[in-house]
Amino acid sequence: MRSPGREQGSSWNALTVSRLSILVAVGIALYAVEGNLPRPLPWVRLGLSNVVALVALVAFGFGQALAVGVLRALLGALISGSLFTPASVFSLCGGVVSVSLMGIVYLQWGRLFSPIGISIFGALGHNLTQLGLAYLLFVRKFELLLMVPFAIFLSVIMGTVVGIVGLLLLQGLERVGIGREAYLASG
Amino acid sequence: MRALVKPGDVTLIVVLLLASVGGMVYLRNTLSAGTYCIVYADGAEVGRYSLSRERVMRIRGPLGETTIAVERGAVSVIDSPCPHKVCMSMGRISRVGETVACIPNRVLVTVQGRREGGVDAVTR
Repeated sequence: MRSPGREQGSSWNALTVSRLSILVAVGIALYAVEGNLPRPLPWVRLGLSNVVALVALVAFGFGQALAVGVLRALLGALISGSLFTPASVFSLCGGVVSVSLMGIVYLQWGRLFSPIGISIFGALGHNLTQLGLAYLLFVRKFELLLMVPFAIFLSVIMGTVVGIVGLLLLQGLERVGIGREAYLASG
Repeated sequence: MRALVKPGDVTLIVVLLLASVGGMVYLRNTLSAGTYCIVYADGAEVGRYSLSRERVMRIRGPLGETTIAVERGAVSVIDSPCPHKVCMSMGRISRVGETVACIPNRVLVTVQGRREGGVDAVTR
């Protein structure tokens, strides 16, 4: 049987493109739904849409995960009407850092962490990047950095939830024969 | 059966939770410690008093005198003529933004931080 996860690095054929499109579409849908849920604090969101980047990373590799992350951030900004606003720039930067961090952790220490751990790193990258940018670009106030522990705390919670959802998705994908066997067999 | 959660995950979660909660508690305790309190009677400011100097104040209100004490970096209402003594049961406050109010006797005490400027008290 063909192993669709293996051609990463080679050409991005029609299969790859359509697979990524589905992941991006799911990510945007999650982003839109999540944006309308009530939130405990106005700037706290669960980040459930990051699950698609996580799934792309583990199932299809880093390059595709980065593509999914960037497209998700751009299209999410487009549908929420925040394209080119500071919020969307933050979101995009956070997304790139998040995916890169997850990629490094997955490729370097993939044996130590399941998708849950990887997802926590992703959430940390996302939240701390945004906090750092907010500090550098807008409020250069020492008080903002006092939120770092709180941001880490939220990242652990959000990252765990997203990681569990991602794990379930990856299991589902594995069941239909999609994705890299390496992770799920190694566990 | 595969291990879906690896030891690294558990370690990561535990370490980060402990570190972040510890950090939050530490910051809450150190940075939010108030340095002075503002006392209001009937909505008008009576005075500002440093929390580092012990004192007892009697504030006049419609029901009588409310007694406020500053001791060991915290302020509290220690005696009040009001019927329910809610203000007394609110205990000692010492963090920025904390407030004790005696609604019946129209006395309010709130803790503020920083910009103390080395002045022990400013009375108006």
